[in-house]
Amino acid sequence: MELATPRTKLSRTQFWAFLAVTFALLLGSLRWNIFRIDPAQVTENILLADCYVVPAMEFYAEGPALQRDFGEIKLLGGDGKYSPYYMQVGLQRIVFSGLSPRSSQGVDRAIPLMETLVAGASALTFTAFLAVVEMEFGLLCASLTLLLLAFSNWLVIFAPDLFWVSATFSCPSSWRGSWATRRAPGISAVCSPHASPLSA
Amino acid sequence: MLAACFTLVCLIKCLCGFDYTTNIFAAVAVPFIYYGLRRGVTLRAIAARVLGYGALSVVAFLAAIALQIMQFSFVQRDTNNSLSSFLTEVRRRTLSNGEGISSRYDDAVLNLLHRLHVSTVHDPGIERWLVPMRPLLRYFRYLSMGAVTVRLPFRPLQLPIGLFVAGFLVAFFIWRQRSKRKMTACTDRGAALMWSSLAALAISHFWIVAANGHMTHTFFNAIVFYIPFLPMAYVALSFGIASALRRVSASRVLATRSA
Repeated sequence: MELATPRTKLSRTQFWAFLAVTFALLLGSLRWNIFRIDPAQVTENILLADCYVVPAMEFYAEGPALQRDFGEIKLLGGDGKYSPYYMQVGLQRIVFSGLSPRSSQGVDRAIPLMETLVAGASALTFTAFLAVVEMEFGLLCASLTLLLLAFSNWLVIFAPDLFWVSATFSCPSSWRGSWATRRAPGISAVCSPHASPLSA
Repeated sequence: MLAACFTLVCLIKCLCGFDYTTNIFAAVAVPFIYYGLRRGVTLRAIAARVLGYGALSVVAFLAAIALQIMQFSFVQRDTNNSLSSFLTEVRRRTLSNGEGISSRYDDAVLNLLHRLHVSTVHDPGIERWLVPMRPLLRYFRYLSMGAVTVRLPFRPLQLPIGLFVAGFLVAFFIWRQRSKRKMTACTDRGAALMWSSLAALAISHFWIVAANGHMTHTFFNAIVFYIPFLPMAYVALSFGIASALRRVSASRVLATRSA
C-alpha cells in the first residue's frame, strides 16, 4: 500500500518562516506553558526542581564538580543512618554556575533566564526535527506534529527544568536525522518498484 | 567529523546525568532506518551503521564513567568507598524491581481483590506473587498517563500514552496486512515511517527494561515514551491525517472535473 501522496514544496522564505513560527510556538509552550497543559501535573513535577534539585545557591555548593548533592533529600541506610544523596551529574551545574552572577540574589534572578535558555534549546531541537518532517512529509503533516508536540504533557514538564536539560534527550538523534536530510534529494532516484526484497 | 560530534553530544548528555541513556543513544537508529529504507540501503548496511554509532555512544558513556572515577580518585581521594557505593547504586537502580520503599501497587491490587470478596486470609500468599508483578503494574500505570492534552472550552481532553502505543500497533498491523509486502530495500516514505516508528516504539522500552528500578519514579519517568516513540507516532498520525485529507481533496477535484 502506497501511503505517500504528492505535496507542494515551500519556497526557502516560506520554509524559514515556518521554522520561526515553530520555534516561537514551541518556546511559548515549553517555557511558559501557554496552552495551559495539565497545570496540576506540571505543578507537582516542578515541585521537584524548585524544592530539592535546584535551590538557588546549590549552583555554588561545595563538593566534586561532577556530582550534585540533593541537599534536603537523604538516603536511609540499612543501619538506620542517613547519608547525602549524591547524583553522578553536574555538567549543567558547571555551566549554570559559569553563567549566573555569584550571589544568592543574582542566582535567583538568573534562574528564570536559564530556564528560558534550557527550554529554548529543547524548542530548537524539536524545530530541527520538524524541519525534517516538513521536508519529508509536507507542511500540513509538520504543522499537525507541531501542535501535538506543543500539547505534550511531559515535554512541557521537562523542558524548562534545569536539572534534566531535556534538550540532551533528543539532540543526538534529531541532529543526526537533520544532517541525513541534507543528502535526501537523491532518494527518489534510487527507489524503484522492482527493488530486491530483503529478509523481512 | 560527524561521528566525533555525535560522540561529544552523547558525552555531554552523560555528564548531565545517566538517565534514559539507553533510549537516547539507541534513538539514533530511527533516522538511520528511515533514510536507509528510503535510499535503498541494505538492511545489513543499516544495521552496521546503527551498530557503529551504538559503539560510539558506548565510548561516550565509558568516558563519562571514567571521568567520574577520576573524580573519585583524584578529587575526593576516596576510591574504595565511593567506587563500591557507586557500583552498589548502579546495581540497585538497574536490577532491582523498584518499589522498595512503597507497596502501593500491591495495596491497589489487594484492595481490588477485597472488593471482589476475596478474603484477606489469602493476602500473604497473593503478595508473594504481586512483588514480581510490580514492573508490569507500573507499566500499565505509565500507559494510562497523559501524552497530549488539548484544552477544550468545557474540559481538557487528555490522550493517554497507551492510546498512541495501541493505536500505532493496530495501524501497523493493518498496514502490514493490506500491503502484503516484504520490507524492501527501497520503500516509499510512508512505509519507511512505519518501520522506523516501530523501531522507535521498541527503543522507548529499552530504559523500562534496562533500568527497571529507576522506573519506580512514576511521577516523571513517562518521558521515556517520548524518547523517541511519541514524536514519531505524532508524525505517523499527522501523515495519516494529511494523506487522507489530500485524497479527499483530490477525489473532489476529479469529481468536479468529470461533472
